[in-house]
Amino acid sequence: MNDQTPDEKDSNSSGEHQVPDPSGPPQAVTQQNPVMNFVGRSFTLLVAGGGLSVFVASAMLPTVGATCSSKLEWEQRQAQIDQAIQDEMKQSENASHPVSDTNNE
Amino acid sequence: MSDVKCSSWKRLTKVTLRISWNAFALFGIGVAIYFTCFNVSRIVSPSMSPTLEGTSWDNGDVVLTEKISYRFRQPRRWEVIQIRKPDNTLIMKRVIGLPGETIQMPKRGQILINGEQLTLPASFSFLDYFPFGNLVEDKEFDCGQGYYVLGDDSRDSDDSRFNGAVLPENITGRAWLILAPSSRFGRANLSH
Repeated sequence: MNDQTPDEKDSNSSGEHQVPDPSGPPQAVTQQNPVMNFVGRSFTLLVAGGGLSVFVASAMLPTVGATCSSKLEWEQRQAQIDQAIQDEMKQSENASHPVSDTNNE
Repeated sequence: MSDVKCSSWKRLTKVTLRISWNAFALFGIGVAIYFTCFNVSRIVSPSMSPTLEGTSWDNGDVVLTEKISYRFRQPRRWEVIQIRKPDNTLIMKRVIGLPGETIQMPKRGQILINGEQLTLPASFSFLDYFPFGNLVEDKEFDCGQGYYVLGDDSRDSDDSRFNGAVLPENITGRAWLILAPSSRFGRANLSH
């Protein structure tokens, strides 16, 4: 019966350790529900996006460009132009009136 | 029964932590991208009207500025750019003159670049420039190393006519999108 060589005995005994025991401790199997995954990812994106929106809104800066000073400068300048035009018109009227007066006389 | 409750609580906590962590990481990435590439600002004055409208903080366009383009190229004529002034305020203006050019405005709406008349692109026919500030009385202005910028509503715009040319290091980006109000959503820089 016992016609195995000592070498064969050794290999059999070591082989017993390598074979996994089917009745051993159960391994944790994580079952991923695709629907729950999608919901989780959507929720993550929603939270991150919402937070980012709030952050950007709070970090928003005003952009100016028209100041009262420049408006005032323009109005003053415009007033000067109008005044100059009126002065010129008056001068031309004054220049034309004496001629007409002398003609009438 | 209590074991089942305990495990479900554990699972819920785990999922919540995972979502929070992911959301926080995404938020961080978003903030980093925002500070590196973008800037959102609100127009509070009408100097760029009608391109960018605004009269106050409560009534103004929200504009997304991108900071990437000018890392690879120079600002081009007619682009709306964002500038940071020495007092740290932001302004948006349209580029009219480029470095090395001279500008003149013999009369309202007529711009000469290096002595040659600048024709407005068809899409910018609404622009009407007034010869105020350093352009008054047909004076010639040398841009030097800077960009000559004007507001679209140049009757009331604090721009290069009063402050001189804008140096490249003060340009922070290019106006890209009008985000709000929704009725005005669209590109801030019209193609020409």
